[in-house]
Amino acid sequence: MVDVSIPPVVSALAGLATAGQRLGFKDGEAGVQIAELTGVAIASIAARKGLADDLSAKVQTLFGLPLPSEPKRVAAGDVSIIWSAPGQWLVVFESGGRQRVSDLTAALRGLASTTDQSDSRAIIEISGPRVRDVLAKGVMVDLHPSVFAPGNTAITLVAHVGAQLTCIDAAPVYQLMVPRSFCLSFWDWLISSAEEYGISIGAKGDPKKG
Amino acid sequence: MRIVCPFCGARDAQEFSYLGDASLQQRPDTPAGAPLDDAAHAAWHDYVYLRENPPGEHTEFWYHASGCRQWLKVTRHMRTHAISNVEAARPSSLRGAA
Repeated sequence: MVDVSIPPVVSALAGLATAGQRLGFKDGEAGVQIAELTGVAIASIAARKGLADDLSAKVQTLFGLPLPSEPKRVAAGDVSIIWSAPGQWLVVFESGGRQRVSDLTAALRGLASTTDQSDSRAIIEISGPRVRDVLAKGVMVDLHPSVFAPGNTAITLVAHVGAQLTCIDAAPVYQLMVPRSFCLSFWDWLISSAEEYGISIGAKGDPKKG
Repeated sequence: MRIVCPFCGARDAQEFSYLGDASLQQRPDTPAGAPLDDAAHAAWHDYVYLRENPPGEHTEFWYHASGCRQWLKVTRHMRTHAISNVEAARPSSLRGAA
């Protein structure tokens, strides 16, 4: 018999860094905090032809969230929806694992094409007083708070790697979604760029659940 | 050079790939399998090989590969590279935007 149980989502950065670690410049407070968001399930949804409004209404009833029609992120509870392209979005579940993606696929049948992206992207959260100085070394998008505020998202290149950058909080806190297969290279760039400010590695989510 | 994507905003040109002349959307209408006469040969030669190189505005297709993965129709001045218009290549009815 083939085992059809749903495997958990595994950390993309396992072994690269440990929560609580301090890297780079050692004096004073760390300039940036970096944490992988683990145990997260991700689904991409693409509206079927002519059914975008019906899909939007369905998603509203499921999560109480609208489907953003421009590059924005909306969130409620453990669910966030991120614009991906015209008629396409990512739905991120911070708990419940892949079962949530299966449930969503069933709920949206006929309205949208749903694909499990949990193994395709890693989510890295970066915060701290020097976060914009770090991102400035690889991001070509204007991140000034007057134009890239909490809720704004951008699909762009970061250090030559395709990434989705989202502003989560004015603190500031940013989230970077990068393809898992590029994680090692991306991590090298991120750590090299942040070293001079001091880095503290954090943890978000539960790496054992997914 | 920056291109102002109608979906993503201003982005560096390295996020896009260039496809070609946007005025060449109509392929010559010749019946499949039929032998080509001189006129059809000439029409296909023009379509495949001959390109205008106007010293002014040119409409062209660009693909926002590292952004929203949408095809755009860009009007660019061939002497100055100044971009006067960018629009989605597909009509909005086909884009499924909510």
